[in-house]
Amino acid sequence: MGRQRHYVKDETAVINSNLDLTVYPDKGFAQIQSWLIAKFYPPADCNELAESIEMCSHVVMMAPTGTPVGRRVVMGLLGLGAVGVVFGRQLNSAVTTTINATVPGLGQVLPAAGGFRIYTVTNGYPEMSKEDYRLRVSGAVDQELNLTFSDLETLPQTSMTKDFQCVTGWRVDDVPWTGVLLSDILAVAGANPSATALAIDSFDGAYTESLTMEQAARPDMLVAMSMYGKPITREHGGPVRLYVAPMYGYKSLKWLSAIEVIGEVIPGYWEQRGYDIDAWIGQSNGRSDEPV
Amino acid sequence: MQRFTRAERYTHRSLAIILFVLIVTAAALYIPDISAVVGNRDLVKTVHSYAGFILPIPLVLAVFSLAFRRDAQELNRFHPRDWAWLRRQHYSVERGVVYPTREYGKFNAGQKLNGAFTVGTIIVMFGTGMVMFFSSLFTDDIRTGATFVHDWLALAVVIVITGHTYKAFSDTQARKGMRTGNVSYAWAENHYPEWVLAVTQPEVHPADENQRDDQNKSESNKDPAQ
Repeated sequence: MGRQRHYVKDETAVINSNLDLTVYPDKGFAQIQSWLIAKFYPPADCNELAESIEMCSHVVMMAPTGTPVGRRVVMGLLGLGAVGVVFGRQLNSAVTTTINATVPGLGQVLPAAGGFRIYTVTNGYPEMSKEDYRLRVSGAVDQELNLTFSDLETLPQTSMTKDFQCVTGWRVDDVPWTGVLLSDILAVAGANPSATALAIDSFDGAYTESLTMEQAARPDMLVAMSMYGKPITREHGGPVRLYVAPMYGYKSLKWLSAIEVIGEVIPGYWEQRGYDIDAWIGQSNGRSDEPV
Repeated sequence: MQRFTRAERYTHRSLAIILFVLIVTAAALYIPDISAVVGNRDLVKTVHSYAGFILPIPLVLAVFSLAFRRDAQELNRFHPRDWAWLRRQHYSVERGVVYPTREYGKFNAGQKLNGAFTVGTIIVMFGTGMVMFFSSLFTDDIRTGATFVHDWLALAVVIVITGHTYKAFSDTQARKGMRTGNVSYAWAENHYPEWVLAVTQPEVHPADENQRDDQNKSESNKDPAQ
């Protein structure tokens, strides 16, 4: 209301209902009264106002003119935002496909374009050379192991091309992985049949993970040494990381340093912070992603 | 002369500080190379979330300021001169020299669009951020959609804020206006003559173009040399 301007012949005073209320002392209360009347009973035009209220002779209501472009921009952004949220999944894959088709490699750099998002819970990425690398297997085993990188290379190698699905929603399709099956390493160490779980450590000094022995026996649990046909880089958890294909990414511990065979599951880093221990893709953490 | 009141300046400053924290923490969460140096994902995530929670507060408080509401109204409304500004037709060429025609009010169209973008973006980023924070309340599709919008809009925010900061750093008086509230009369006359007129002759509202045209005519009648 009061969105139009009302002019009177004697434009000596301006009362702007929306922007400005200039007080003219000599008009006093009458001015406020007329302003209120004009505000709540907006006249069709000024002449009507002038006839009905004597005060109108020095009242000009000036509501804002011009196009409310700002409001439209805000509403437009809200609308686009809502569309983006509702159709984001489809748009996301469309955008990713388009970007990777037009600018190959951008997806590797720009996480929003379908690449990996690099997460670390400590200060920076830990660094270790292949030469210094050791994987310690201990706990309820016949023989404790301290495997070097070349020891791992002499064990049977398994390759698989599978997606990497993060619990925050992003997914990298068709990543080629190569390494040693977790079950093969446990067989070499001679894990005790009565043991039920694994406690897995990272040489970043903070990150831990857990798996049950039953899960670890699956043929898609990999101690990975190569990714995309190349040695795993430092930010991706190199030289050796875990790749737990059927579970959300936080199970795929990076910078793998130790596996301990134990009697019961100890929740890992993110699991102590509210994430599910059995992190099956599509059946945990309240998500329904397509299984890998 | 006063360009911004204390309330407006504090609003701007608190928004700037919160946005700075948000952008820095966002970079640490999002860009692999920066993640590598900063790490501490749990802590950075917490800081980013809480900064996001308080982001709308300055704007909500600012609504209590009359000056803020008035400026918001000015920023909202587009006049023919704003479209001309966007089309870059606000320059006239005389004898090979380019003069600005100086026909905008307290803010030019670029500032108006920047203001609208900022408000709209804060609402969208806050909303999608809430979806991501309270993710258990939403379906996967909505969560993925919110992440998608949050990520891409964040890039736009960085571009717009970079432009805004670049513009501010290329104009000492504009910066002084936001820092102290006051700008020199000469600068104001040079950059925002319509606004100066509106301040010095408050009975003529800058939005009233008809009246202004009449006045210009009567002025030029008085002094034909102009």
